[in-house]
Amino acid sequence: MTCDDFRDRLDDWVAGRLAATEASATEAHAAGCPECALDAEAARVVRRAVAGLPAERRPDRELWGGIEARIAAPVPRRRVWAAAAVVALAASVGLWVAVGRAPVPQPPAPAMALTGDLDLYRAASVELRSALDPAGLSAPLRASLERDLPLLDEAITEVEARMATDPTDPDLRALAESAWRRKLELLRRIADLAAS
Amino acid sequence: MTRLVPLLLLLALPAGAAAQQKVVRGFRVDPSASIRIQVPAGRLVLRAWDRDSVAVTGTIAPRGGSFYGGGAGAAAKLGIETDPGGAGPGSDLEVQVPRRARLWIKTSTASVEITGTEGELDVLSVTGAITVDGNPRVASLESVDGRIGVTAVAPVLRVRTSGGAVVIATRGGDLTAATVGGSVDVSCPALERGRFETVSGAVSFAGAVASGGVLEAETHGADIALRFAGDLNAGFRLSAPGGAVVNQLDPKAKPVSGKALEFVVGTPAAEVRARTFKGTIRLGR
Repeated sequence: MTCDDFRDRLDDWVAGRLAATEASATEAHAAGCPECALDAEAARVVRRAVAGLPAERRPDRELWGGIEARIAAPVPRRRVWAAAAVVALAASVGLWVAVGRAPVPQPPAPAMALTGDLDLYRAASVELRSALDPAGLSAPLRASLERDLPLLDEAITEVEARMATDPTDPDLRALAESAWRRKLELLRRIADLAAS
Repeated sequence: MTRLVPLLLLLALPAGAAAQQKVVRGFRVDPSASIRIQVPAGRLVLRAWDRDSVAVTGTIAPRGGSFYGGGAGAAAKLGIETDPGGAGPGSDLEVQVPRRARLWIKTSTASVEITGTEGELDVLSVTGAITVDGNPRVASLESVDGRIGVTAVAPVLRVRTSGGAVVIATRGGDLTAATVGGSVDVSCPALERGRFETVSGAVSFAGAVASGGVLEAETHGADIALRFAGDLNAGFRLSAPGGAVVNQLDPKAKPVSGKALEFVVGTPAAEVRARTFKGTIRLGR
């Protein structure tokens, strides 16, 4: 099974709709392909988060509008799924949260407009961060949030500042993407542990 | 006499309410059963054996909760149930599981030691350390602050922690390790695929990359040290926009256009990519 075949079957596999033989083949591919395994994990997290939403609530049309437009832009298929999963997770977590939380300081947007995945990462990060109330976290989780988030924010700020002067450097972009991805993973991990 | 009554009632209470509890439990399962284990605090030791059953022994500290466990066939679960909102004072459990069992383990502060397993592992901890010594086929190990140590043959390994250090020693495999503030130390004589990243912790690798393999190391502010043994045939790409590169493999190599340093040692049978924003990349033997 190729990675494209896997992604075609991912939704049905996570939802338990595949026949046994096909499910086994899909599972075997995920076991041997870390990138597809990551996609599968993202799909399961989104599915769990969405399944927990009250039936009467629907995604905010205003929230989804700009995000859908960005996702609809031509990007590699894997990135569409990964980015959509990230934003869907962030949005679904955000819908759980009582309105009225004070906005949390984020790294300042760079002078140069970032496009593509970095914008999606930033949006997802805002949603996920808003969903976390430090006062409601256990001491170890709160300590991790207070210690590790500033490290990541500082890294993001430094790299993006450098990208503003050298926007074509692929290594700078890779460093920025890594830092954003790590930030989302940290927020997701803390949110999962806090909810369990 | 009336004053003696409360005292007598207190003495009559079941001894287990304030005493250590012993756990001895067992049940039959399939050789590749899926087993879910939740132990909030204390110590959890899992050892693989060649029997189609699960055996649990150990103790639970006073007011440490109660043991639950059971299952049959393809699935089983066991653990310690504590009062809501607390991990409790802890338990000390040893669990023997079939060698090819698929294990899903969750702890809060409990340390987890896993020995000899060959099935799939999925371990999540908040601050407990995780140690694996065996041959798991696929392992996903995640902790917020706990140290994670893995000695294995050639797994598909995914390790994530925020503040904890990661130490990996394998003979090969497809390895991914990511921390924020912790360090990543990897030794592997035939790495097939590796991605090791931190933000402020250092990355070190000692060993070799198999032909066709890829090694990626990335930090933001910390150093990357890559030491290669044996015959080396690899193409290198090193980037340190705000840092430095100390290249003992090919000291004459120069960056192209002041950016990434690219060179080949031997033939480009493998790929090595290292990237740090402001740390130092050191290459050597």
